[in-house]
Amino acid sequence: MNILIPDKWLREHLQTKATKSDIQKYLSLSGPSVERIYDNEVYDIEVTTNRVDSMSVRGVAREAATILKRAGIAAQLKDVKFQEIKKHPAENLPLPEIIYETDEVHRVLAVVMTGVKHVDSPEIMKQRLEVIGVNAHEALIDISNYITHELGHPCHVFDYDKIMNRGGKIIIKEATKGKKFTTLDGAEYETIGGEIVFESESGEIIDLPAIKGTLNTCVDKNTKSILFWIESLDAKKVRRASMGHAIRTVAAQLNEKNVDPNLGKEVMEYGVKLFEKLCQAKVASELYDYFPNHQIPKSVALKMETIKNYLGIELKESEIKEILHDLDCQVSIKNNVVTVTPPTFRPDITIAADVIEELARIYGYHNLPSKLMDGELSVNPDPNTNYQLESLIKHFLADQGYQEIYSYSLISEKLALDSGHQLNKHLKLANPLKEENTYLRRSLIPSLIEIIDNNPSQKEMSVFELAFIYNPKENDLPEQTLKFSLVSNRAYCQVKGDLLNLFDRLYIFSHDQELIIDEKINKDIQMPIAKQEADFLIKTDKKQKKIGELMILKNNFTAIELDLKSLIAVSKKYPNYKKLIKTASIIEDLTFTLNKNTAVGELISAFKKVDKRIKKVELLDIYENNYSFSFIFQDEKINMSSEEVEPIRQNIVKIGQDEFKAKLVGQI
Amino acid sequence: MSQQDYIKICQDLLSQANQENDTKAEDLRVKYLGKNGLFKNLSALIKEVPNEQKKAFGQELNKTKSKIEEKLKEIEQQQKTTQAKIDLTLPGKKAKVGHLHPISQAIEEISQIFERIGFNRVRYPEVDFDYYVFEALNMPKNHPARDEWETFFIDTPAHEKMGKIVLTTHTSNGQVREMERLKSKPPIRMINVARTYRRQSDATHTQMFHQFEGLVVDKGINIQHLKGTLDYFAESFYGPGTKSRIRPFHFKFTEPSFEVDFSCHICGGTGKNCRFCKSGWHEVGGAGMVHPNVLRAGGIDPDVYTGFAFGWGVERTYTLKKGLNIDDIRLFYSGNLEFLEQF
Repeated sequence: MNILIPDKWLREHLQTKATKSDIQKYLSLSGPSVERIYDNEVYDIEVTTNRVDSMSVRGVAREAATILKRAGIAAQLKDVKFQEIKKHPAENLPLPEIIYETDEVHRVLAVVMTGVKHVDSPEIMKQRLEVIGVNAHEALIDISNYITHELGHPCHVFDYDKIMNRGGKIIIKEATKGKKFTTLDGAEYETIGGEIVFESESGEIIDLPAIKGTLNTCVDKNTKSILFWIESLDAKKVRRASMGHAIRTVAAQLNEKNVDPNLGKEVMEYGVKLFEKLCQAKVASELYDYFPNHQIPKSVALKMETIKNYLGIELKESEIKEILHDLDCQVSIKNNVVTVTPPTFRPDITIAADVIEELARIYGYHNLPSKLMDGELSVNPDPNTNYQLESLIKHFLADQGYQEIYSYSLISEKLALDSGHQLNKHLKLANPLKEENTYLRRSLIPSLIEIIDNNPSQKEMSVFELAFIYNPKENDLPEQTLKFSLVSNRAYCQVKGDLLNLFDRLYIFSHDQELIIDEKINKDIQMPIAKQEADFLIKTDKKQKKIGELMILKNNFTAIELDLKSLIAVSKKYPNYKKLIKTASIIEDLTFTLNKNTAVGELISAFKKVDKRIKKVELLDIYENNYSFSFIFQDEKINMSSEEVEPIRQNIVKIGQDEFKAKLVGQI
Repeated sequence: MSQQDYIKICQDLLSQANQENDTKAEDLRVKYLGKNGLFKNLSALIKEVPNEQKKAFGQELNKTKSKIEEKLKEIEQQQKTTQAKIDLTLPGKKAKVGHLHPISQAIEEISQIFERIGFNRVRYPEVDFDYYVFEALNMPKNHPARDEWETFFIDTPAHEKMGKIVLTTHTSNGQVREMERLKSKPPIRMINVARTYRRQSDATHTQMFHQFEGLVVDKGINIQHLKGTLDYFAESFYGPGTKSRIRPFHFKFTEPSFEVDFSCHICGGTGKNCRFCKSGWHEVGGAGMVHPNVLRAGGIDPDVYTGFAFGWGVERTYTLKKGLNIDDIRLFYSGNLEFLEQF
């Protein structure tokens, strides 16, 4: 939460010669952060949620006094004392009857004032309210906003007669569900049940306490007498009601963070003083103060050694005492144990680490040395992946012309359906921000296709991404698997070649593993955007393992989705070195005329199996139905002669002819 | 043909070759060693040599051939070096290459910096239980501290023990998960980099972004070590002279908690007329000493061990690099090739 404080207002509580930039610098280093100074006058200060005591002019002044002193700049919190509230002898109005039907009330303060004049607030008050972003109305209304900002405890002003006309009772209770009420700005609500409300005798809701007043009891231009009121309720209750109704007033944001109920009296006195002074109001009742159980802060004990453990340096006992005293704590140190009792406005100090934070920040984090830790290293790598390999794959693909993409894991209905999984087989957000980001994806391919489509000016597009996909599981987290996916509009053979290059780089084939492409029959095709689909399998001696999928899309793009974990499992860090062969090889080209349906990959595999002296078979060229292959013959022991190749050559032609109806072009 | 005769004709051919200079090397190759070249003619003479001298003639022929080849190579080399100059202003021919995404580049650099000081990179679920994202981090249900995270929830019933399923709003869910993975046995030096999600979208916020989370737990870990780690990172990532500072802040899962600033390397930390920083500093993220309750949630005794943690946005950290000039982080996730190809 940020609070705006004009410098002059701050100095009404803070006696110091520190400049504005001193205040900005030292407060930021050791206390609430002064993010900016507007117009060289107004501090914009971020106060953290645990420090509601600093959410006021006085609260910040108190912090500044301690922090500036430590920085060597004289500073003191000014004493502000208000007069006791005394009933005006000539006035006498009864307080409403307050009935407690819940024990979630920590304190209630109330006083009746009468004879209020409707006047404008003084200029300085109006200006200050404007600067802090509050609209000025008339003094009667402005006073409560002004003192809340100055002292930090919200307060409320009822129209006294409206309460009395409703029977003169305020019943504090937990609401039942479904009761209607209208807040002072005219907005209509219904109770959610369980929130604390004030009701009249007849059961009408007459206030949503600690959050916002209601229209039926708020002051207006005819108000003659007021009930000036402060309540302190259970913070969790306040928060639940405020969030439930989405009413996030300043009062609610303070009250839900445990404002110190002890602060109430001061605020009451300050308010009465202002109503008297500005509205000529007179106190017409005794001060009502219901404070059933004064919470005394628990003390925290910690060893001196623990302080050293956190800071890495030893603080002297005198230094510890001084810092904590300056923060209004009571301190005693005996047998190396520091016992600290925080003031009532610091309910955030409950454990040793809280005390250490106070000591360290006031001592100054900037005054602590900076050094790297030594000690034992943890050798326990993440078993789920191999970051080196991930990086290698990314760099390798990029070097082959593939652009890496980061796309949203949250996708539209269309992209979800493009994956081939039904919508109800996707995780769905309960509260999406945008419709196109509603489902958690089950494949990266549709996102990558969309990116290619969104870049029409690019002629050749090859993209890849490494990211999680999410498969829903019953009553558990989804299965989250890392996929390496690529989509390209290069020709299929080229994409396949790129992939084979990658596999070579990962030494997959060097270790006697083989890639099998297992094409699915038409009816098994899953992705509606694909026209052909196949599984990628890696075959070793004994088994086959699926590592991913291949898709030829309807627009002829090639898409590949690899499972990273499976890919890592078949990848190697180094090759399986094959002995260098010293004998000469013979290279021959043969051309065959093939039928339209011949699977060339299978034909090549068959050729390779003809004889172990065939070291390599490569497709050289395709011309119409004629396919030229290059064969490398090599015997590991002797230099082969053309005569020795002859029978192998004949077998090649025979296998081609018999098993694939491949006709040799020319003669051998 | 006598021995003297054939030696002479071999030498004649060689001296003829030795006098060549002006003719193009490839034409000379055809002239001397081609199918119908002079050497072929010469070797055809073997028919006229008596049988007992054939071997000697053969040897003489081989010698001659290799000398001619040598000469031809020499001529070739000479001609190459005296060819016309290459126009060095001709445009270069580039092979098509892709690029690593800038976020990948940033993550690689960040991870390497931390790995050098013994951090282990890990990865944890990006869709996780409320327990790991909030509850185990000392953030009870409905706590106001949760407001700071604009959380996305999955439309599915809550798990009985672990609570709702959410998109991780920060990488801090890795803290207790890492303690569990290491069976609550420090030392822990973790760097967790992951996608994170919050319900927000503008020039400096995207629904999906990246964070990196550091966690160190061991005996005797103190605030000085956190400062040391931050300084080490700042200098490694932004260059020598970059400083870090910590200021008080509040997170439920650390105590004390800090906001981390790096000195502005654009104005040198002076803040003078600098429109990039706040008074010489950039806010980059949060840090703190691990809250005892978080250590307990991870099964670690807070009376024996202490630790620190920090977590920042990768995008924010990266875009602060001098001269990078990215003012809209949504570009990272636009898939716009004209943008991505610049990296």
